[in-house]
Amino acid sequence: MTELDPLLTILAGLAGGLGFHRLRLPGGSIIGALLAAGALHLWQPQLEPLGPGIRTAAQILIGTSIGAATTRQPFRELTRMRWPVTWLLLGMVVVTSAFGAALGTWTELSLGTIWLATLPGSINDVVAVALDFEQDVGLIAAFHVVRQIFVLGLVPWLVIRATERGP
Amino acid sequence: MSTLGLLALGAVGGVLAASVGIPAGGLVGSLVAVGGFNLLREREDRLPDSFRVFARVVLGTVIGSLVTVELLRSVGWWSLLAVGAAVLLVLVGLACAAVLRRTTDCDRRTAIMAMSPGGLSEMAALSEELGCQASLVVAIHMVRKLLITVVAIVVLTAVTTGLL
Repeated sequence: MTELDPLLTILAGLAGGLGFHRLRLPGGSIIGALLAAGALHLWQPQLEPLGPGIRTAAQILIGTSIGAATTRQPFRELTRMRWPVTWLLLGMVVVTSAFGAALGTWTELSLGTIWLATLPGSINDVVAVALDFEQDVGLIAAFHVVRQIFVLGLVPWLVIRATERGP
Repeated sequence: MSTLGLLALGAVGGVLAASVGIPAGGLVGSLVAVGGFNLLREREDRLPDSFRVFARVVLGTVIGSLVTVELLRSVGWWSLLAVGAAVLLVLVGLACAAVLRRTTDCDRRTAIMAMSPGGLSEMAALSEELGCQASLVVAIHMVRKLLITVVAIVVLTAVTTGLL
């Protein structure tokens, strides 16, 4: 690994992200960057993932951008919809837990591992829990990365399709 | 306040939150710092489009750099199962979004983004790009993160201690 390696990844991401953005694809800037950087890393396996500092910097840019446009309205709405949101999220956990339990009985994976792998939680939090409870962290992380990439690729398209008929 | 000033404020909040170990600290800290500041002075700003596109590109690049040969190997023949689980989660998310839209006055785009099981930072960035209420989406995803982490710890503790 050389000091130029992260720069190479960033340049690839910029090229892919800006290219997809110009094509006006939904979510193009994120997905283009993801595909370009991912392809580069598969082609050049010696390249290492970008460090947590760059991820934090990206989060700060996005948080600042959203924060700048924040008003009181979303907080009023969240207060009003707290119970539907809580029940729906719990329902989501129940459905995915049933799926995880079914997979646990059909495969040789431990129930804890497959349950954590199929939970709709945050990758960092779930992996931290998996480490504490001595589950297969690598497999769980891989499942969550696949899910996040899948959601990133599919959901923008679904949003556009779903709102073609109105808000 | 200028873009640079907001960015400096966001950086202070983000770095502070990340350094004390808050999950997605960079996002949460900068959002709280800049959003809180805007709520206090009761006005909102819109940062330049180029700034927001750059932020999303950097985030996409970070995620893309995690795709390694080792990751593909570790998923191996489980990849079909992983994709199946992702499909199920997206479908469950869509069903929840439909219910959320019917039970509240949430618009369709925001409901889908709020109930989609993606990463917090990624959903926040996409929501902004797709013209949703990004602050509301972030708030709901933070509730999801917290709720699922608590459920996971409680269930696994109950199983390992023989309570369940």
